Amino acid sequence: MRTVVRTMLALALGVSLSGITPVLAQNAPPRIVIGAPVIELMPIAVPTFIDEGGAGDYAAEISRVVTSDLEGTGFFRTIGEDAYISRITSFDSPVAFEDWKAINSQVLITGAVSVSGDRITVKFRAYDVFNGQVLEGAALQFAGTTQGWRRMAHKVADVVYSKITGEGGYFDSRVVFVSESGPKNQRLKRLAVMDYDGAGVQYLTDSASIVLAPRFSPTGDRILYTSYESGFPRITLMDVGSLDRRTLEDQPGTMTFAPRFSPDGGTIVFSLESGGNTDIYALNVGSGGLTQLTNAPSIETAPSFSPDGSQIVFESDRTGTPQVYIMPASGGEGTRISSGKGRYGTPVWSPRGDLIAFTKQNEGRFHIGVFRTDGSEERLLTASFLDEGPTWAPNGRVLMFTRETSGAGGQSGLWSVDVTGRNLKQIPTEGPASDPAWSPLLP
Amino acid sequence: MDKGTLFSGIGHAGLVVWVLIGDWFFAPDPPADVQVTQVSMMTTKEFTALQAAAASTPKPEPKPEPKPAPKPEPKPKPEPKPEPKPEPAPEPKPAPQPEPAPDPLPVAEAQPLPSAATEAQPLPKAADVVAPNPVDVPQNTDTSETPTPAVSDQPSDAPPVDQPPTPEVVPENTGDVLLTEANQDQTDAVGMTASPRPKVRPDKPVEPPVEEQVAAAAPALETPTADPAATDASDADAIAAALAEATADPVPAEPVAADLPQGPPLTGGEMGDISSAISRKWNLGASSSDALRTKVVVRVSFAPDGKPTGFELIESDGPTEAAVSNLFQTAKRAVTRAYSDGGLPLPEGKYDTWRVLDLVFDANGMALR
Repeated sequence: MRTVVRTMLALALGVSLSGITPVLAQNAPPRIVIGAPVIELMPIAVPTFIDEGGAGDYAAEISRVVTSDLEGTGFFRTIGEDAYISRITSFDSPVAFEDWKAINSQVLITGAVSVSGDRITVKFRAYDVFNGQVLEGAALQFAGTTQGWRRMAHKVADVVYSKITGEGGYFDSRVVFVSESGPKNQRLKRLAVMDYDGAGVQYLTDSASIVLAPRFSPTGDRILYTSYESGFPRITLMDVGSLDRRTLEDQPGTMTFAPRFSPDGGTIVFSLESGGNTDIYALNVGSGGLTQLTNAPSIETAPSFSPDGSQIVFESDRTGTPQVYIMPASGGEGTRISSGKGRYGTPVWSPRGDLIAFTKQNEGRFHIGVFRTDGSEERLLTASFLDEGPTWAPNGRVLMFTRETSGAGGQSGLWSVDVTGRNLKQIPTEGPASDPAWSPLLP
Repeated sequence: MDKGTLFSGIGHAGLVVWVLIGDWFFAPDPPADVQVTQVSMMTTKEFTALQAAAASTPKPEPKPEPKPAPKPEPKPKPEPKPEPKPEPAPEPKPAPQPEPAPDPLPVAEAQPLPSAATEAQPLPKAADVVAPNPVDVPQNTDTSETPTPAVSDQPSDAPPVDQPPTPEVVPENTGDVLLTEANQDQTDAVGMTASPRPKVRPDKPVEPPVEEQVAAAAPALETPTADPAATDASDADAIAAALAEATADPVPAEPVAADLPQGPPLTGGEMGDISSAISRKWNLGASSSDALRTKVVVRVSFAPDGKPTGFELIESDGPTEAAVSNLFQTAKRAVTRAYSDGGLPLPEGKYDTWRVLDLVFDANGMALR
């Protein structure tokens, strides 16, 4: 009997003490887990920037480019000016946040432009409307020549984008690509550079010889590409400022192609074909020393460094079909990481280091895809008659690639896609284009 | 002191006293009788022999079943299992068979890969266009980020500029709608005029006429009196009005900030309502992929009217600091938007329980990469 009573007492005491716990825990505020978020375009307002003197059309054009940049990400939806309740008439006037809340604008970007001679100044603020304050670090001013007005617009958009999304921007960057013309069976190709959005195209070479696979240096001031100027494919290095160029590794009886810089710009990796066998080599830019990195009877090509420069991802057909491998930057056999059906090629390491983009050919379709650096979590982002040659935006969020349509009249063009597979769109170019390569973010 | 607390204290004290001095009142139980069982010892050999004998003993015949059970349906012969497919060895592959070519394979127009052929391909005719002017070198550009003179984070203190108002948008009259039981006016004849449940948040204070302001019974929330003399003069009327109102209407007057109702803890339903209201405004459409692998806990302070007044990041788990910051911003924006777009469903009468809340924003489930 006594034992039973004691047991009951102990249980009662335990229960009563456990009831005390929440009382003691009441010092901590209630914790509420917020449910699933929504994924929708963020509504923003970009009123036309204020002309603070001599800006003329620049104010409207800069506003338009900022809007275009942000809308083009697929993250934002700009609210038309006809929906505005109040107007921004002065850059320093207080903002009537209630008016912008009423039209559900979550971010408001105000700006002003002034021009004096050939100098232009652009200043802006990005407001978090519902919190009623300027986004931290989003009140800046840029100055330069009127010739560079688009770059200033891109820079404004880069700052706003990075402050809102938490990712680096990519608008103030360039893309080098192969501009094509002429009939399909006798296509003329020449190198060109443009803004990331297809504007401001400038040509770097004439059409006298075929050019392929251009690649920017990490500083954006040099370009590597494969040229058929001598009749054989040769790696050529061009200085963007002067257009001076020189051929690298011009050994008789060999072909060199698929070049790419190391992250520090001190090394160039490429494929060298000699005697019917293709392997990957590394060229020290300073000393000219050549190092063989692979040694296999198969074709090893398309090398790409990891962002830290310690590893190289490349393509090899040693198992019969092209697959993706990773090896140390010092060379070696490599470890295969692609495991799905089909052929994998043109692997490119993300500047963030977390993903590798590739071209995949399977069941008669071409895809641009990404997987992790161990080959896991493969995700195909596109599917078409011919997609190939992905290149990463400087922030590792967007990919650009070549898409060619089928048929005799098929054209090649440049397309971009978000790494999630959304926001697939064509980059406007004057004519057919291929082989894009993204520059780093410009200084 | 609260009666419940008093009873609970007395009960607990009684329990403790009972445990401590219970022995004085309850004599110890007599020890239970020991049950004795006779056992005998045997050696290992004997045990082994016994086991062997038991094993050789024929099993008893099974008892005949009273009724012959109906024959079960003959089971279909199991299909021979297909041979397990061999795991595709990653490498080396047994026979390198070329992949089926795409239809049609864009061989002719594909990017001309360098071949082993030693003959030079015919060069296309050079275009008339010669290399253009040198391209702007990025580092030579005149554009520069100019922190000084930096743009001020805030606009000037100048009075707001008169801005041309936009004509008010009047909701379009959509015509008559069907009168249903759901949308007809509630009257005594029809039923209750208000929900018996407590409102989730207090009504916005309606500004009374000037003369009523003087006699207002309930003191303004957290509003220091500017003119004590005037307040003193109106105290008597105010108290009288409050008493009259309290007598006429049992609903308590709006509490002052210093004496806000504690109320019971938030119920699961109330917390769910708050969670739901905020999540509807929590937009991750413009968040980084890193932010979509991040979790933050934000401590939010609320004013009595439900307005969020302070945000503090108290916990975070994410791949980068930028991702944490980004998610924190989205969380702040969600709470503020939820308040602005109709208010948060914070239960009236429980201010002390929700004046500070820890809100968990976990974006991990939304990871896209």
